[in-house]
Amino acid sequence: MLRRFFSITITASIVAVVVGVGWIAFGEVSKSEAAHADASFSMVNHQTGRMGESLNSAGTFISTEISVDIGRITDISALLEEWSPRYQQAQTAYRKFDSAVISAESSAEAYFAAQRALTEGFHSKELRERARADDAAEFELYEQWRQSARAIQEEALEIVHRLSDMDTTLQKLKLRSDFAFDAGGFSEVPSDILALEEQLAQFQIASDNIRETIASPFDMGK
Amino acid sequence: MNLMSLPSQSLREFATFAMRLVAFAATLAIIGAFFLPWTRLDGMGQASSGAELVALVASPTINYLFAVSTVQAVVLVGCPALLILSAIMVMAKYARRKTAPFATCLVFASSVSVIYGAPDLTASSEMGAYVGLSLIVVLSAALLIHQALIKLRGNLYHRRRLPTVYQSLSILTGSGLYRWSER
Repeated sequence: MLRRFFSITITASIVAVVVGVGWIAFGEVSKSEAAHADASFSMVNHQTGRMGESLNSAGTFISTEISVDIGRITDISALLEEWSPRYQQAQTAYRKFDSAVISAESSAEAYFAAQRALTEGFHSKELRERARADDAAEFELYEQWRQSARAIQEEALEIVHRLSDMDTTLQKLKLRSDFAFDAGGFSEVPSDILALEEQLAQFQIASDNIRETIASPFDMGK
Repeated sequence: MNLMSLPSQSLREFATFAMRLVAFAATLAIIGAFFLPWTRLDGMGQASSGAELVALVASPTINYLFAVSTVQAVVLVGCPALLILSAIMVMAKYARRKTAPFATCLVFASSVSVIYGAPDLTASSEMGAYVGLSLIVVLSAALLIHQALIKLRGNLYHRRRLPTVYQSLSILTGSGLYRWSER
């Protein structure tokens, strides 16, 4: 009996998971184009706000009004500790904003295509013309939004490029500070070589003496 | 706690049986928690459950997620799917009085991955923020401890050591003997 209870429970769980996920997925697929577009545009608005915060945070480094605390840092590692998380956050925020705009444009295309299809479905010429005018007015509003979004995108990209330049500058400084070598180290011949050179004459005399005493093996005693 | 101090054999067997059912209920609760709120996607209004995260595959939002970060999107959508498959596997093993350490580890790892593996895509990734995922982390950790105790009980049996601890573990883990048939 217990085994049957277990097998029924397992089967019911599997069915619940499959049906639950399937039902939610079906809900997503069957959402109207307007719902998708609405969600996408909300996402862009949200990401615009987040990107503004992040770019401002990292922008304090390249601003002419440098924050007092950051301006006082003299150690490159400490400066990078302040910089790196803000830079990463700003980069992520820009990427998310860019992706949200692309997603919204794609949703808008689907939305306007659906609207056009419905408009063309009108039998009455008068209604069709009015719907076309409505669609055109709505598309005009969307175009304005798109222009505005692209302007923000361009502005953000410019800031991101400036941030990237600042990052490269800091990375170069870090690299330079890591490459600390003794420049005086190669200015003279090492002392061991000089000492041996001083004794070279003595070795020369000794070797000449030895050569005179050792005869050639082919010398037959002339 | 010395469970051998329970007054009668029948009571000890009943306690063993009850603990076995509790362990099975824990595996079932993980499946239930799959439908509770897990985490909130950044920019989305409400928290998504594990089932909703898996169903994102069918939503246009998936393009946005992959555009932001491919790895994090895979974590966010793939880990809940892996988790639920592993959870079903664990439940099936527990129904047959067997342990499934690998699958339980997968459940635990997948839940922790969803919490910490997609920081750019989730608005709230701290532990304990949403009930479903927190419940899964706690339950899978408890199941891992449960299986470690079963392993310890087996070792004690083979080495014939600490009989009192062995008997207590038999009851506590629900892996001891009882007279009632399961057929």
